[in-house]
Amino acid sequence: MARQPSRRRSGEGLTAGLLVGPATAIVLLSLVAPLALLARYSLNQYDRMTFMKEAFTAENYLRFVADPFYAGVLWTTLSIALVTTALCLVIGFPIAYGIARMQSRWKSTAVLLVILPLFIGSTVRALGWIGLLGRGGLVDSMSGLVVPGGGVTLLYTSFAVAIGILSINLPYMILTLQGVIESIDARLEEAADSLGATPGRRFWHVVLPLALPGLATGGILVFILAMNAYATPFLLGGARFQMMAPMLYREYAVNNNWPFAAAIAFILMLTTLSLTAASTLLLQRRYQGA
Amino acid sequence: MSTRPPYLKIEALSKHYGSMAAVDEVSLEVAAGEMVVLLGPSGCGKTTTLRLIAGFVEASAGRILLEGRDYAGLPPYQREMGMVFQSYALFPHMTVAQNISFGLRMRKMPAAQIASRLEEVLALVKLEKMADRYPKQLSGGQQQRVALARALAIRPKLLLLDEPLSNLDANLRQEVAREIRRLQRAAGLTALMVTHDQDEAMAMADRLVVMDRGRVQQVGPQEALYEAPENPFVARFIGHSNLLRGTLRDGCRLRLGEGVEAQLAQRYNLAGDATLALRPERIRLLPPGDPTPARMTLAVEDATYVGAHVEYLLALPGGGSLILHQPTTGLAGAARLAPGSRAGLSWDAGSERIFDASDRALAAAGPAPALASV
Repeated sequence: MARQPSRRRSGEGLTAGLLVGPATAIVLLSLVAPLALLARYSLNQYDRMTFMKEAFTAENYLRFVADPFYAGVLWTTLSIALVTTALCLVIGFPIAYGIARMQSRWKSTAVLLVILPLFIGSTVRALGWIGLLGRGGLVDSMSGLVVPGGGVTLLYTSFAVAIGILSINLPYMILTLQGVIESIDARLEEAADSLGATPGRRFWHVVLPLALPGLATGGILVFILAMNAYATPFLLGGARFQMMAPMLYREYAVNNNWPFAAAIAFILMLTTLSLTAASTLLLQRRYQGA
Repeated sequence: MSTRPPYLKIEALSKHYGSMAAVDEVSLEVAAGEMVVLLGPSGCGKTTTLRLIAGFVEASAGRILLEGRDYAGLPPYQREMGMVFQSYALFPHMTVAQNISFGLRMRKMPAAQIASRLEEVLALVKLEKMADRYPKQLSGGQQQRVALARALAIRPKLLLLDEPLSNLDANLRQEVAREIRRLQRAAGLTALMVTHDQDEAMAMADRLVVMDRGRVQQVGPQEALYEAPENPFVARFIGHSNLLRGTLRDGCRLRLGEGVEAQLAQRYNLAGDATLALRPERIRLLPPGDPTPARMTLAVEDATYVGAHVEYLLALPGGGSLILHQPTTGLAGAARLAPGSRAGLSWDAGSERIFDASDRALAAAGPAPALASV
C-alpha cells in the first residue's frame, strides 16, 4: 500500500529543517556574507591615501573591459584552462577506463598511484617542474647533449604552466571518470561485442554516451581548478606570463587596490560559472529522454 | 546420433586461473537446432564455459569448432553468437528499437533492411507497441524479450543464454521459458543455455550437461539423467536421491551400519565400499501385515502430510535420515506410522543404483536371489 505523500506527518518538515539549519547557517556565514562584502567592495573607488573610498561606481569593471591587457589575461587564463581540461579528458579517460575494468589485485595499487601526487602540494610540485624545465635543468642539459650548444629552456612559458596544471588536475579527472566507468555494467560492453561491434564502435556507441555525464563532471571540476590556479602559473609562468588568480592577488596585496581586486574576482567567478552552466545545459539537452 | 559432423563441437576446453581450473577439459557435441542446457551449482564452471564459447574469456586449452571452423583467437564481435545476459544488459540510452537494431547497424545493413528486420523481430516477441520506449520504462519480462529479440535479430549462428529466467518473477518463468523454446524452435536456432535451476533445465532442454567443479559429470536427455545417473553427484543434483554408504557383501547385501542391512534387488560384481542411491518416491513403505518381504527395516522419525505425498523421515545408522515419499492416492484416512515404529521398505530393481568406491555407477550382474518371507 503506497502512502499518500500529502499525508506525511507535519513533524517531518520540522525535523528536516532542524537538520539542514546548521549547515545552511555555516554556508551563509562563510560563503554568502564574504561574497556580498566583496560585491560591495567591487563598486567602491580606489584612493591613494585611504586605499578605498565608499562609492557606487562600475569603473573597476569598465577598467577591466576597456584595457586590452586585462582582457588578454582573461583570455590566457581561459585558453590554458580549456587546453588543460581537454588534455585531462583525453589522457585521463584511457587510464580511468583501464583502472575501472582492472580485475587483478593490483587495482588498489593503481588507484593509490593516482592519488599519491595529491599528497604533495602544488607549490612543491611546481618546484619540481622548475628543476626539470629551467635553465640548467634536466631537459636543458639533455638537449644540450644531443645538439651541442643548443639547450632548451621551457620554464616561464605557457607550455610550462599548462603541463604544471595538467599534472595537478589529472588525478581529479581520473578518479571522477573511474567512478563513472565502474558504474557502467561491463556486460553492456560484452553485449555490444557479441552483437558485432568492433572495439572502436563499442566505445563510440556504448561507453562514451554512458560516460558522458562523468566526463562533464570531471571536465567542470578540472576546468574550475585550472581557472583558479594560483601557485602553478605564479611559479612556472614567471613575471611576464599572467593568469587571473596571481594577478588578482597582486592587485589586492601589492597594489592594495581592493575595489579592482574585488572586480577581478567577480569577473573570474562569473566567467567560470557561466561556462560551467552553459556546458551543463548543453549536456542536459542532449540527454533529454534517455 | 547421426554420422553427420556435429554443428558445434567442443574439445577438451579448459580455463585455468592460476592453479585453479574453472573449466576442466569439457568436451561436448551439439547438433544443429538442438537446445542444450548446462546445469550445475554455482561455481561449477558452466558460465565460464559459455563465456569461453562467446569469446569473452580466452581458453587455456582446447578447441571450439562451429560448422567445422576453429573459433580460437576469434574476437567476440566476429563470432556471430547472440547472447542473452542474466541482467539483460540492454543499452539504457537506446530505445527498444535501437537496442534490437544495434547488431544490424554494426553490420552496416541498409536502413530499409534494418527496418523490415526490426518489424519482424518486434512482432516475434510481441513488442510492436514498445519500440520507442527506453528499457527502464519496461517490466522485467518485457526487458527479457527485448534482450532475446536483440540476440535473434542478428540471426546468430549460436544462441547463448546465461540464466535467462533468474531475474523474473516465479509466475512468469514458465511462460517465458515456453516462449524462448518456441522462438528457438521457430528460428531453427542451435542454443546453449546455462542455469542452476534443475526444473528450468528439465523443462527447456533437449539434452542436459551436468557440471561440477569445472568438469562434465554427465550428458544426456532428462530421462537418462534421472533414471541412470552415472555418479552420486548427478543422482543427488537431478531430483533428489538418498545416498546410503555401506559395505557390499555377496554382491547383493549392503551393510549400512550396526544391525542395518539393505537387501538389494540386483546382484553386482563388487565387494567392499559402495553407495546406494534411492529416490524418495521410488521406495515403498510396506503396510503392517503386508506379506512382501522388506529389503530394509528402519525406525520412523517423523511423518509429514504435504499434499501429493506423505514425507517420512527414517533413521539411518550413524545419524542422518532416509527420506521417503508415500503417495497419498487411495490413502485418505489411512493411519500414518507413528514416530518410533519400525517400517519395512521395498523397491524395484530399476529403482536402485549402486556406485563403487570411486563413485562410478555399476551395471547389475543379474537379479538377486528372492528374499525369504518374514
